[in-house]
Amino acid sequence: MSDPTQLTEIADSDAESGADDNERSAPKKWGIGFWIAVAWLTLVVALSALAPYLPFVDSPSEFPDLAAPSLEGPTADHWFGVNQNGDDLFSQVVNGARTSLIIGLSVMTLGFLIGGSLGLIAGFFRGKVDRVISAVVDILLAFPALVLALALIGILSGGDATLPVVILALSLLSVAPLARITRAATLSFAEREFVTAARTLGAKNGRIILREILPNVIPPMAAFALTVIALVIVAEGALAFLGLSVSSPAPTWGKLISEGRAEIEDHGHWALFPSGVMFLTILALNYMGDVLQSRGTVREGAL
Amino acid sequence: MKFVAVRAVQLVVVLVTATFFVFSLTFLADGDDAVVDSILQIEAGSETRRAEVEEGLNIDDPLPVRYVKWAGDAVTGDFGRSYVLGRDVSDLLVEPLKRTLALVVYAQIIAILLAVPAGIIAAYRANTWIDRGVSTGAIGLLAVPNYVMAIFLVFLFASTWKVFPGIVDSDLQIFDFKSYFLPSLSLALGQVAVYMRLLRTDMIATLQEDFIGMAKAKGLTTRSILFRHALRPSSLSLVTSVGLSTGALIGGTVIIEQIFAMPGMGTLVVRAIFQDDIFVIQAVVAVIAFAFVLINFLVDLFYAVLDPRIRSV
Repeated sequence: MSDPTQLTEIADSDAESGADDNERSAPKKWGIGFWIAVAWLTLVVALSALAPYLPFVDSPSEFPDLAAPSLEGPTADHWFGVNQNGDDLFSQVVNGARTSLIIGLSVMTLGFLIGGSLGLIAGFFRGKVDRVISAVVDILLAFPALVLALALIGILSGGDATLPVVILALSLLSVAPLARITRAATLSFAEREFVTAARTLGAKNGRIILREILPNVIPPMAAFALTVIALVIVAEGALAFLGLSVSSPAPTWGKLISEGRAEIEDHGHWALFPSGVMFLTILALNYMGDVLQSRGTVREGAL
Repeated sequence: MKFVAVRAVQLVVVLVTATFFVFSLTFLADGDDAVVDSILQIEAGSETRRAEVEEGLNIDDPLPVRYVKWAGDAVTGDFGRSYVLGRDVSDLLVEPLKRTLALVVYAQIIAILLAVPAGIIAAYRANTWIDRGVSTGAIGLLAVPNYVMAIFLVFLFASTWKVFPGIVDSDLQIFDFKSYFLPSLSLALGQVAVYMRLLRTDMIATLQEDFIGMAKAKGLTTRSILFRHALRPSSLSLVTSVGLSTGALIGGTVIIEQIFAMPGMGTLVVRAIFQDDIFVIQAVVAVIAFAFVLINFLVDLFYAVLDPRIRSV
């Protein structure tokens, strides 16, 4: 799903809905699927945050453990089985989640800060500033971002990427969509009565943006951010597959899957478990994002 | 025709921005001297060749001037010489470009062929179990990264059933459909979900229009109503998305090519990245940007054909 166009579509649909958060209609049920998604993500986040303190998660090591059995399917000791070097795959998947989540969250944060600021400025001041920012955003949205990210990483680090370089390159994927969605939401609030009221009271632009508009545009951005995290996790996996992601002993999901691919016929568990965990995480993120976004739309429709 | 002109200008801006960005980066990242050094090192030329190499790179000019000279050559198809492989970059590009474009085209065709019937049936039977089944399947497909899909399909079709090759020939021909099947399908399935959801939404709206009621009243068959009357006005978002997603698909080909050992643009650029073959990196980005811009332009034109109202904008 490394697909920026999908983001564009979501951004467009959200631009129309303009999510209104002040008039809350009667609380609706979130649905069981939503809570399952929340539970799964909580589990993944908790495990990866607590990984160094958990007795059943080995820390990543650079050297193969020769005493351990190699390439064994799931057992009571090794829930996801063992890889060629005798590493416990469950531990690897948990440690991979750490890297993947750190990258996903950092890229999302960068997108929020840079894209969000650009969107707020464009949507609030409009006119020439808006035209310039929108043109840049359109260009970024239009271009094959993964190819640019690839070229950027390649040129900056030539196959030996560090975490900051990977994060920087992947933020090419998050800045533009978040700028667009923030701009759309800002546009829909900039003309509202409470903004006029604040201005009448003599509030300066900076204060209006930070205190009046920002709190209102954060919910649609947050719903969208989940989709961005999913996108980034997939993109990081793609980079790992090409050998261009973070080079360190710490595994990422993409790296685990690409290692397991070689043994897929005889020892399918190696690729299967990381793929499955990745699939469920992306599914959960997408689903939560969908639900949150559609609630924004429904509320608008109910007005 | 103002619409066409505005789009053309926009797309040229995209092209120039992207190529300038990558062009500058290739020099700024390591510094000019490092670039010259690595070229000399690989060519095993002595320091006497330094002046010649610097001359070829226009190293004394400021970056923008260098870019303009490079772009001037690039327009005529001259992307310089790959000092790693010792061949003209343009010669290296031709066959991989054909293969990659073929892969994208096949993937789009498969995606549309699967998405249109699925979207139509989901819209026609909206909010029934058929719709829910198709829509849930789409959400599931969206969560499978194309490389995971590729591994799974290779395992199934190549390793287990041995009906399609899991690795393609090193001189893959573009009409070798059997070899192209698995790579295209891996790329297509994620797109199916995107297209199907778009078409379903638009189709549901169209099916509530008066002219559909009219068609029903005339006693036309359901099939004729769905495919001949409702599909065309419902397909605008789909067409836009097909065009826009071409960029993402080109990004996706990089990794799919790697998995199937397909010698396309992606394989070329990944090799160039690892070997610091900067002319190849510049050229691949330029060609991908150009292909992408061209496709977008064509989609815009096609869009205007589908919906006459747009022509006057």
